[in-house]
Amino acid sequence: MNWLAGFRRDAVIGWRNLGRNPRRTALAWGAIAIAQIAMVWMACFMKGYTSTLFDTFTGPAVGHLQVHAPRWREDGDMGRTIRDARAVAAAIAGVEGVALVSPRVYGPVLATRGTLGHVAQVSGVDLRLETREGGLLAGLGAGASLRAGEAVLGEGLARELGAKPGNTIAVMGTAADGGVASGLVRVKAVVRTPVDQVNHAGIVLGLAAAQELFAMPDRVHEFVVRCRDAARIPAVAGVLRAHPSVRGLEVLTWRELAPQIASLLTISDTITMVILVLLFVSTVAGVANTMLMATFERSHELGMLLALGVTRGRLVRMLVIEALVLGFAGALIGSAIGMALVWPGMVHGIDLAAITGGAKGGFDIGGMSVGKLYLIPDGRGLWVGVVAVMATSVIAAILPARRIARLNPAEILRS
Amino acid sequence: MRTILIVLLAACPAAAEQPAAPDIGGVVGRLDDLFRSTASVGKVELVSKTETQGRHLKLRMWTKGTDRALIIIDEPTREAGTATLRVGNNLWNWLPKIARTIRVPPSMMLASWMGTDFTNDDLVRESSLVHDFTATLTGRSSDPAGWLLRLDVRPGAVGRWARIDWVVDDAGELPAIARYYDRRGRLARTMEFTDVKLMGGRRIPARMMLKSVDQPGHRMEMRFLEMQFDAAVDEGVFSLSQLERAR
Repeated sequence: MNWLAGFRRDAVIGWRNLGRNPRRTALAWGAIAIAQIAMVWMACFMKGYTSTLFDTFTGPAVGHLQVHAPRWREDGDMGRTIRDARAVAAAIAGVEGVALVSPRVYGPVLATRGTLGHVAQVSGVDLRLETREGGLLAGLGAGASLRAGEAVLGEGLARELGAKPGNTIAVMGTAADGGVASGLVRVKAVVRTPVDQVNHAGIVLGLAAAQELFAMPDRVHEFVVRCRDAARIPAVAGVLRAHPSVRGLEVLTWRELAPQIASLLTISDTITMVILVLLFVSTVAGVANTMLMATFERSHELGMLLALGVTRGRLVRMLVIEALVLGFAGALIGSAIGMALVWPGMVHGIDLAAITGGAKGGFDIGGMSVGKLYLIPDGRGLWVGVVAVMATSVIAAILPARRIARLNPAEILRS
Repeated sequence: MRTILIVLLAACPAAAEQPAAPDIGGVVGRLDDLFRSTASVGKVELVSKTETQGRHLKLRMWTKGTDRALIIIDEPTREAGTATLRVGNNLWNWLPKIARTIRVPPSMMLASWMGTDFTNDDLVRESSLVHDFTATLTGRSSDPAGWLLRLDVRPGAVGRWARIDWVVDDAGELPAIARYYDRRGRLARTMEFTDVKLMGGRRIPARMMLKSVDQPGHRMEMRFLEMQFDAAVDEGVFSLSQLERAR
């Protein structure tokens, strides 16, 4: 147990040594802490960024999976519908791993308050599902409903039409059977959703109202499916493709629906790693420089210790322990400050639109509007930073300490 | 030698009977003016079929000059009274079910008109074969029999078609088929003209069959049920108030 007692003694000496030159120690801690703050904050930011992108793209518009009639996505033919929609929805909902099945009807229309038509898109949705958190109309609040003849307008279309809640809008489009679809809707609310298309040209109706408008009873154009676990999306897609009720329909995962977004997320992960590596290198450089200076600065003092009979091994051990204490304390301070700076971003989020000068209320990426980006705690930033700082501190101390320990004490004292 | 010549001539009756080539300018002018008149009134039946939809419309129509038209749907009953008014480059649709008129914006000109293979643009575009294309008589066509004309779009002319091949009858009076090639040079649609009848004092193909090559399964048949050319049509027919009174 002698070595433990010796270690403790050397640790105490190392700690006291840090207090002998407070300015140098404060500078070293400052350098280490700043690097660690950057590591922690950046790791949390990138995790939040990737997660926000994934949630935004697989959120209200795309979902984790989609089911359509074959070729509907290619030509948008109103007649390419999924029949017996209620039965198919029930079959999909019964598949293990499926959390939510949202039926939708879409139809391009001309909409007007006066005479001049404006290009718009009617979306017929299940209000009960879409007003929940993460739904297309989550902004309306859970439980909001639309009566027959009522609609929600995207803010861009409302501006174009000069429409406000209470106004009546005439719409004209093509029904699923090719006939003329026309109707009057009363604006219940004007909303901004995470989906640009809805904001710019969207008229959202209840599912039944849209089915009636486009003459497609118990038929829909799309099921948006959300899975309980994002990792099981491919497995659920496989089960659905083989399901008798879904056979003949097109089942696509979000990666197949938006490959460019999938690539963007992959690139984001790579960028995160590159940023962390760069921060790691800058941390290493900063800490190494501080430790080298601290060791060489004390050459005379170390030579005195050797002259007084301190063994070379103990000298190296003392310096290494001092470096470890310095690095660990610095990393701890940096981690604490870093997490304190991350906290507001976790709670209140970061308004990307305000930072980038984008549109009010959202930052547009790939047709989706990201309102706020919330930072997410990421252990990678913490442990990578701590390990990097401590390893660097030890390496930066051990090399000059060993060189000094090999020298003749008399020479050191003379120099 | 004389015997051989007689045998050869006897073996080539077609060559011996080939009609004289028509005046190409005259043929293209007649194609342009085939359905044009100072004013017309008519009834038309449209049958449209796609992979997923089938449409059967009966329409009444009034035209004046080349820039005014009123079309009213009589059948199907569900859409009866739905009407389209064209004045110049403007199009309005009257929707009796909601008693509203909607003007079609320029951005929707390429959208389908009333669920048919016609686009809104087809209704307003004042295309002219004479002005927009240069015509060449390329020879005889065997199926259908007649003269083959190739019309290439003039540089700067606006439109979907880069080339239209027409087959006209031996006299160069009536079209038999038109093949439309898009700007990439691909055959996009064909229009067959059949059932030639005397209507409104003119011999016209009363039945036209449009087949979309670029949209397999799409076909549309248009049949003239009644036509009056150079009819007396009041100017007031082409007004919004008349559109909204359409029955």
